[in-house]
Amino acid sequence: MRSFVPPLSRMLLWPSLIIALSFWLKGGGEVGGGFPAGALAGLAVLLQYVVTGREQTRRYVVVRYAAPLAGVGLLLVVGTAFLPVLAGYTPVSLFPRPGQPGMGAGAFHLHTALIFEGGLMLIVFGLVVTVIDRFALSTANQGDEGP
Amino acid sequence: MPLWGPLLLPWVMACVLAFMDGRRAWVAWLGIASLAASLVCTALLLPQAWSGHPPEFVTGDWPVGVGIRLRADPLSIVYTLVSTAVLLGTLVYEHVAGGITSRSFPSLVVFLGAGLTGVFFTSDAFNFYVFFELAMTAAFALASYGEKARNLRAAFTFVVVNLMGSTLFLTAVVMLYLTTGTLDMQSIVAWGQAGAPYALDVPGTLLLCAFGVKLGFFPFHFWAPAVYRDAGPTVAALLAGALANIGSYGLLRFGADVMPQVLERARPLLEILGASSILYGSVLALSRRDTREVLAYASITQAGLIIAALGLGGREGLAAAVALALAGSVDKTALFLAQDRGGERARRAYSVAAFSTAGVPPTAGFWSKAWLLRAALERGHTWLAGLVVLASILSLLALFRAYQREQWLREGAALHRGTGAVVFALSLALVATGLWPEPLLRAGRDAIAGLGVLP
Amino acid sequence: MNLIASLVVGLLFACGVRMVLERELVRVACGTVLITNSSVLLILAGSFAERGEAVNVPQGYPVTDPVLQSLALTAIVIGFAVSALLLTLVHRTQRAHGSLRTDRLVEAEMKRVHDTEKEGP
Repeated sequence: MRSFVPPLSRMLLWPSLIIALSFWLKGGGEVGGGFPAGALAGLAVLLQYVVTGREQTRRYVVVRYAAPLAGVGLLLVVGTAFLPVLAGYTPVSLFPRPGQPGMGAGAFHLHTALIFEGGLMLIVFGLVVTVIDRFALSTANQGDEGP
Repeated sequence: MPLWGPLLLPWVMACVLAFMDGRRAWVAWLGIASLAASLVCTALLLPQAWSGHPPEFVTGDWPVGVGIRLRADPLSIVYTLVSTAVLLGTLVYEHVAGGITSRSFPSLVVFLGAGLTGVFFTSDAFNFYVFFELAMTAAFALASYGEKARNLRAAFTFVVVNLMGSTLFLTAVVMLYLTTGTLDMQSIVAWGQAGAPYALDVPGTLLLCAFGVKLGFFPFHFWAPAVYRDAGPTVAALLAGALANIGSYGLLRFGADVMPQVLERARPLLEILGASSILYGSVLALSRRDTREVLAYASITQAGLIIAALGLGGREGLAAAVALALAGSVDKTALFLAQDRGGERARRAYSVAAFSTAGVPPTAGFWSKAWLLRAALERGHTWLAGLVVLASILSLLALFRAYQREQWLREGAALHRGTGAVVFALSLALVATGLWPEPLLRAGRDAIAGLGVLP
Repeated sequence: MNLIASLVVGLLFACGVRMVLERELVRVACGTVLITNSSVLLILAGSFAERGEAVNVPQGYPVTDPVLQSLALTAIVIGFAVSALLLTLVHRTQRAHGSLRTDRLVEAEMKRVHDTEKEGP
């Protein structure tokens, strides 16, 4: 049976990822942040897994390298927390310093917290996709062995 | 050495190790090296921590209350040193005992170290929860190490029970915040001195339950025998030796430091819980046949001793609790590791650790128990002192009955050099502390002197 | 508002405990998720009372406590990671045992204990 669901889900993937990115970018002052962004992106990929199956979904590079992405995110988080130490500041210092003029417009401001949130987003996304992938892999194997 | 050194190092190394295949020998050695390096970094903090102005910083240079304060007083330092040393010994053991079978094992152990260091250094109630959960998540993943059906069963029990404990702890932290309006521990202390006397009783009770689940004393002990029996021997050593330290540390930190007035009121309850745990653990240890179950019940007795020492209160009782926790942590690690493989050295290490657990001189366990006895007699609680002596005799019997039953004694299992060296080092530390107890006694006394205990 | 919130927290917690006592591992896992979420709701309910200042709110609007909101978010993240881990564990247990019922697992455990006892004296 040809259903409208697979094409629709494929159409939904990129808009969801873009909304996730916007969540991340405006997290500093408005509703959003790294965790909702990562969770949303993970859910978008989950939809692909459910609708089109593992093989189809793993064509996307982001999905194939989800686990290393989580590691990169973790390094980003630790890096933003501890790199200020090298410049003589206390850990988890915010740059530009509070009170200094920042860059950005509207809801978007450029500061190191953004990198931190980005790392968090990658961790959450990587974790969600890796767990989903494991489940998908084992159910696919069971399907082959099954009666 | 700046304070962030021992915090940063295990974090970065754990992240790096997560990318590598832990089954290779050099990756395991890298993990061992990073744990050893963070042990050295912590040791370098010792002079500063003892200087009267413990090293501390507030994240991001925010004012206290906005930023998170991290602080290393003597209590934090001694706990970090012992826990990291235990993790180091266990990782070395697992590597030389025939190789690590999971690619994430070294990284998870280092993550556990990072979480424990964070728990011990933080001075913020919620940050305590975050690091606590980090350590727990690493431990959850480690609990299923080995991948056999029995390991998985142990892991499932462990995860479900400890999740309950974490939830209770989270609730307690939120209640503390709602009552006092702050999460910084020193601000809570200030609030407690000025605020309503009974306001912190409910969060205090919840904290007792939460840390009771971690430490595994009497009414909260039910998960311990099943998990310690069915998890792999190294994992059991990690859980009993390093992770259970969170429980005793949390009780000391939140009880003696943050809410001394609640601890003061809870003392009779703690004494009863401690006494029943001592009795329960030592009697059931005698009735078990499986060596690891015997050890699990012995660890319940150990937890009961710590709780009883807390219940005795005062500087002497609390210092005895610190000494008991530190000596017990090394004891349990040595016992769990020594009963695994066998060999001449493992047998000797087992007997030394068993003597230390029972409190026979000259071992570290003897001094910590003697301290507890002195505190009990000073308070005039002769019944508790008698119970402690009885429990010591019963544990000695139980541990040596297990020793006689063990196959490695009868059949003389093949001597294994590497694993023998690890357990030998652990038992050597126990005997050395027994012969020269000054560091242990000073650690206990100064750790408590750094806290704001009621006189 | 506080009454409703506390009733819901209690209900969630009670359902969670009930499910943890079930015989099927998936239900046990779901029960722990419910319990975690009940504590998250408790945190949020604490922030209903108006205290603290929100980041970006026009003057005169009621505000909730931002600290508790951030605590809740952190608790959600941690709860999420742990429940993912727990589900993976359930899945692996199912593959190792071919069953998800706790009574089967207990049987397997008893059998193993029995076997080790027989090896003994």
